[in-house]
Amino acid sequence: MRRTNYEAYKQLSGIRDDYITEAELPRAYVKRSMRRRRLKSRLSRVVQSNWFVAAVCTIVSLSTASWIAYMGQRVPTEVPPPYGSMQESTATQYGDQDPMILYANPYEGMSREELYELYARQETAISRAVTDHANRQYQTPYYVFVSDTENGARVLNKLTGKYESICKIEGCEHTNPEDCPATYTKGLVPGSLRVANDCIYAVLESGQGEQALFTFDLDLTHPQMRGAYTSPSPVDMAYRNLLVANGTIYDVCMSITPKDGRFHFDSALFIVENGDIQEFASMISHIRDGALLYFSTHEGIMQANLQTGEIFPLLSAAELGYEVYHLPERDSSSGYPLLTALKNGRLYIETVTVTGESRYCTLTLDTMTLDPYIPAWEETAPESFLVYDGTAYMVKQGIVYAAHLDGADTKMVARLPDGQACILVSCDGRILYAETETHILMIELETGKIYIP
Amino acid sequence: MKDDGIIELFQSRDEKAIEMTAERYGRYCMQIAMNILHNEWDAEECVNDAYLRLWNSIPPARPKVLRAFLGRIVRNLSIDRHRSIHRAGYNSNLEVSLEGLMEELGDCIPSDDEVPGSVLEALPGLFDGFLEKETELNRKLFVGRYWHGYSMAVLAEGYGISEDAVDGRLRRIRERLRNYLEERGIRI
Repeated sequence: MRRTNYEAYKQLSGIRDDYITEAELPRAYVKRSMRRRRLKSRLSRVVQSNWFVAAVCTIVSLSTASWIAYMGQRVPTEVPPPYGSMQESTATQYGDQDPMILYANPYEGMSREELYELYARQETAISRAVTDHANRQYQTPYYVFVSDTENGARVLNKLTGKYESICKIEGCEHTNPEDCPATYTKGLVPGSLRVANDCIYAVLESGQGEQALFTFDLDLTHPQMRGAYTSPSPVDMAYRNLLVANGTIYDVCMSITPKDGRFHFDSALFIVENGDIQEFASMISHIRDGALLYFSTHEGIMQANLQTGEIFPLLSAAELGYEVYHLPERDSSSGYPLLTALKNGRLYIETVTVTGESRYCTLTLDTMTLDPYIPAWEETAPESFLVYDGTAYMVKQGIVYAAHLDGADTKMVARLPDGQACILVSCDGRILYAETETHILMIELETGKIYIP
Repeated sequence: MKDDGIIELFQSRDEKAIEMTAERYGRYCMQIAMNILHNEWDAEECVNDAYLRLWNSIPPARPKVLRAFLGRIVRNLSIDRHRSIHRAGYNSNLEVSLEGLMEELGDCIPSDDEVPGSVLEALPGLFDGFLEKETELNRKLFVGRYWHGYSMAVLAEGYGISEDAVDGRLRRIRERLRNYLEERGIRI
């Protein structure tokens, strides 16, 4: 195939300024692919550097036990020891020591009941941690759900520290294969996992795009299909929120469809147990606080009472300072709001504009006052961040930091091995879960120890 | 700080100009460089070189749109850097390689080893003339793909059309560009 001349290709740079700026897409679209590329780029450097170290070791023939032990500690290659053999660590809290990588389970010694108690105390905070990040996966008292499009849905068992497949549930004897979660190989639909009423609710997706709601016992046994979805079409679905209140399952599905130059936000409420479909409200992000649900739509911030079904507007788009997303005009004032946290009676709101810029403010619910603020992650431009219970966790150049939402009091939590990149997945107040291209890392917040299950 | 303020800092040779530029446009520049180089280290170096180039350009230059002016510098430096890396034997196989983009344009932009200087000088104006005749969406797709280096998937998501539709539109735009340039005496 012919390839154009470098110099001729460079002349494209000289086109009119307005053609360049009008073709620039909002950063939100390219951010995700950029992050993926950064991760790949960094991981490939780690692999290259490890090859280099391995080659040097071979050439110089430093085959002493101490070198092997050293390399083994830096880049673990051994088969993980069985559950119950956690290694000793000398790591100190927030220290800047070399990363302490351990193969073990930081929940060792805890019973299921203790683990569930820990979870129950932090349930509300856990549900907040994933707001705004549809790709972040929820966790249950025993499991962390891991997105894995190649291997199907997988879970990390906290009690054993090992991966298990959701598709290989013992005792699953469904006569109709479509009723079996093993059919839904693509795994968990983002935003669709809830733990309530002593069971797990999860929407799973098959390789063909079919979706169905399942319930499981807390140890992932006794799966039951509660209903399959036919509408809206899964391919149009951008986001969904599964809520369980007063024994009723509210499944809010939202789709974003470009039409006539505008983004249309459609939503439907599924009450799965009796098969009814009711219109509820379009929802971009939400935070639940007991019976109250705060959610954002393209029109502003709303509050819903899940017990009475009443919905109140809190802030309009105009009060938040943006216009409804309108693509062809590319008006830099248009955008949509995201709720990032609820802490000390204040809602933390991020307004993303059409040009990809973010503005941040807080809404004090008692007084309904709106104040601007600069969050910690915006100042430090991290590669990944996660908000959990009012604390922002962020990764920058291979180091995990924690900071208050207002940006104050930044502390180092842990240093990642070889400065590699990772994406923060979830947090339970004790362990921060991070995903690299090859591993899930469990970072103990108190000690900075890193565990690889 | 807004563009006018930053340009004033450059004019008065205040080194804070670089800091302010990096703060306002750092991520934008990294995105352009990463779309061409796919390597964070190389991209960072190009972006830093671009700040220096900007420092040396203003004054005398006084750009009307700083964003586009700086983006243009980053793009050109990134292409140069990619070229030197490529000469050294490096071959990127990531999602949108510069080689891929240049091959796509191989049949509609001059591909000879040596292109006369007069042709190179005329090309930006010819591109402008061609893009002016295209629809807004086609123009955005073309510039998004070949200037900003967006992948088909990002363009499809951004404009709410399928990847096949993006591919088809780009193919037809390239055919029209070839005819447009040939009609004006440019040898492809």
